[in-house]
Amino acid sequence: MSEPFLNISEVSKTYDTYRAVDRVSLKIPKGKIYGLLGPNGAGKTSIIRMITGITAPDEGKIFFNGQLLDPSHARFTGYMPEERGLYKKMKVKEQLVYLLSLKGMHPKEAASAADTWLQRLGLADWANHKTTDLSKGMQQKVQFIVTVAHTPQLLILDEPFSGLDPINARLIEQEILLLKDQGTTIIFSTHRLEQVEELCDYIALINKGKVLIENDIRTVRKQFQKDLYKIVFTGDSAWWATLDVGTVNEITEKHVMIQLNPGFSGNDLMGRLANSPLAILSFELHLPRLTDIFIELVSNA
Amino acid sequence: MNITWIILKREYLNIVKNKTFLISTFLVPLGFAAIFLIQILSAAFVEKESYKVFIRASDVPQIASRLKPGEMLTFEQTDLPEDSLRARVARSTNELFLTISETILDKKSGTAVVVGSKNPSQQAISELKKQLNQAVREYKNEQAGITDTQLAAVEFDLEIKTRKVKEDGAEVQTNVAIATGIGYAVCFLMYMLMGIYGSVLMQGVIEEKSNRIVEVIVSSVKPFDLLLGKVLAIASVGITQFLLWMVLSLTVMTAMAPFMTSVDPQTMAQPGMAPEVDENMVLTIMEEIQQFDWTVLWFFPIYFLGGFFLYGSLLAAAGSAVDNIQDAQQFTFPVTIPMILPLLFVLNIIQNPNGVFAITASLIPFFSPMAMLVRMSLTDVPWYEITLSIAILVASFLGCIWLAARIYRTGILMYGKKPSFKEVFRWVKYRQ
Repeated sequence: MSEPFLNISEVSKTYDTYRAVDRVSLKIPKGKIYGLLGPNGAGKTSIIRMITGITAPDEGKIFFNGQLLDPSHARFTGYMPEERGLYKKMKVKEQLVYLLSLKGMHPKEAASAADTWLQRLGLADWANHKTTDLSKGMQQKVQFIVTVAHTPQLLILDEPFSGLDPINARLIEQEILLLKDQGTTIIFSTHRLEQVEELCDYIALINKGKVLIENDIRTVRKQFQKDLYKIVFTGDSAWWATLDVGTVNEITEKHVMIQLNPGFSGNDLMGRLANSPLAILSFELHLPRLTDIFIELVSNA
Repeated sequence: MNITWIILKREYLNIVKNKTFLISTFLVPLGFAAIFLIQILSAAFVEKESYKVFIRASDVPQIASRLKPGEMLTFEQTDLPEDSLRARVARSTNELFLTISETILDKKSGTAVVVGSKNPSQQAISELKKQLNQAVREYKNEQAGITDTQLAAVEFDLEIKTRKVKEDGAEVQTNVAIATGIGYAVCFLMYMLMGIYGSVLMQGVIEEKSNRIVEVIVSSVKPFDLLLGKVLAIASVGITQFLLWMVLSLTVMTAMAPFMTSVDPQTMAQPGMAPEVDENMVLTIMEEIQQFDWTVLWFFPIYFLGGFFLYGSLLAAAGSAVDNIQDAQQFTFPVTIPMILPLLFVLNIIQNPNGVFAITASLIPFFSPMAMLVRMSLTDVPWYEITLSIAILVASFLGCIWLAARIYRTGILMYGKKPSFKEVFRWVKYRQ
């Protein structure tokens, strides 16, 4: 990995006696989607609050694009907290202009950025309505605009899809991918691991304030793969009992899960299958789900 | 553009454009004007009443014969028996039956009983009392052989006028009663403005926290900048309102001036007030109000700002510690107590504005905004006391803002359980 966009080095944060973040080091590469994953209370929000400069670490350092993090970086960061918040009685556009001005945009720039985004997300007609008049989904979109309209270099989205219906979730997902293509570094924080599995390039699994694992998602999966193969077939399932290179882990009428025995490879298994009386419909290496990896890591800890 | 300025502008416009602000700004002075006007009008249009008072001829005629008829009361001595007189006045609305006890002639005080179908008005009773006292005095003077000439020679009516003398020798006429009234008014106005705007600030903080916008904002700006912007905005709203009140009051006063001079103060004074009161009282009040040392008003905004920064920042800290307004009470209680105290001891200051108590109160920062203004409206406070009082106030509100900011930056991010005082004070020591 080249120089990370965000480098979190040995960072700790303690509230009273509770150690919310414990010597956490993370390297978040530029222009990738990075999943900060873990159950509720793992310390994700505490880490994010330090990245956004809302709080400062007790120990350790954070480097933003090579520079030690300081308040001036706030304008290059977009943060969507898990608990969404807008001024209910303010008009949509007025609100956008205000919140974008706080990010250092000139009011005129902010107004035109707001117009562009409202148009893009289909909210142009709502610009002069009070926020409270909008549906929950529309408010979520406004929240998203607040987060991205100042073209941040770093985007931090806490539970980005919670509260969105499938259509809006899809729309936001596409916008996020577009921002990624434009070079934006994106951090997803969520406890719903399966939801972001497909989107993340890199992941860090966090539990009880500590990093369990951090890497490229494919590497992580490979690391945790168990030489488990899923085979879909037709024919007499009794044959599986005669297999010598692996043992049956799970079997139904249509598919079987085979765990390779030590000393054998996938090729050995394929050779045996070629000579079997069964018709093989599909053959694949079973990659572990993040949830499985997480559970394994936690139970081993 | 400066961040605090952007926040200030939004918060300021948010309140100033609100209907509540417009209504309170324009209705309060109009309300005062209306109350004043209603009093003048009601005084001018009091209906004239008159009674015929029956006295039995056998009932202390020495006195009864001396009663002089006037616009309101006429007297008639009659031989009718008591029972039929009672029956007669019971059927009438403008006839009364008066009995006077004999003892009135040789005692220092006495009683008379007046019977009617309903209680006569206060003015009628005052008039009757005046007539009776006059008659008894005349009778007693005659008995003692004192002539009217002698009486006129010893008659004496003393009035005390108070004057303030300035260092340059200029004299200003003052009136203690009016200064007291103004003192009370200033004290109450200060309490009202500090209380209202303090709670507006606190509600704003709670609102931002409970609708979660605060986390979005503090990811862009420092919590201190947000707090500062809010405090300055609401302080500006308070000053705006005060200035508008002054301008409006002045406008209303000017508009009403021709009307007021057209009302004869004698007519105004007569029916509404007891006859013993100086009939020129209303005129005096008007003169006195004009002569009141209004420079004290220049200090009003200064003390309002000081008091608001002090109390407002503490209330904002209280607001940041809780999730909703109901939970805030635990924290606002100890803050509002010192705000209310001056209203309770303002009389002590009015009675002796240069006493040790008054001077002490006007130096203690929690009381000085109200206490010092009361003193200033009553007496000439030495400049060094004002300077010291303001200096202490400024130092204290800076301390309060520092403390509040430290509680605020942690409090706004804390949700869930209502914190205890102990926890809140621990936040002060937190590193960010």
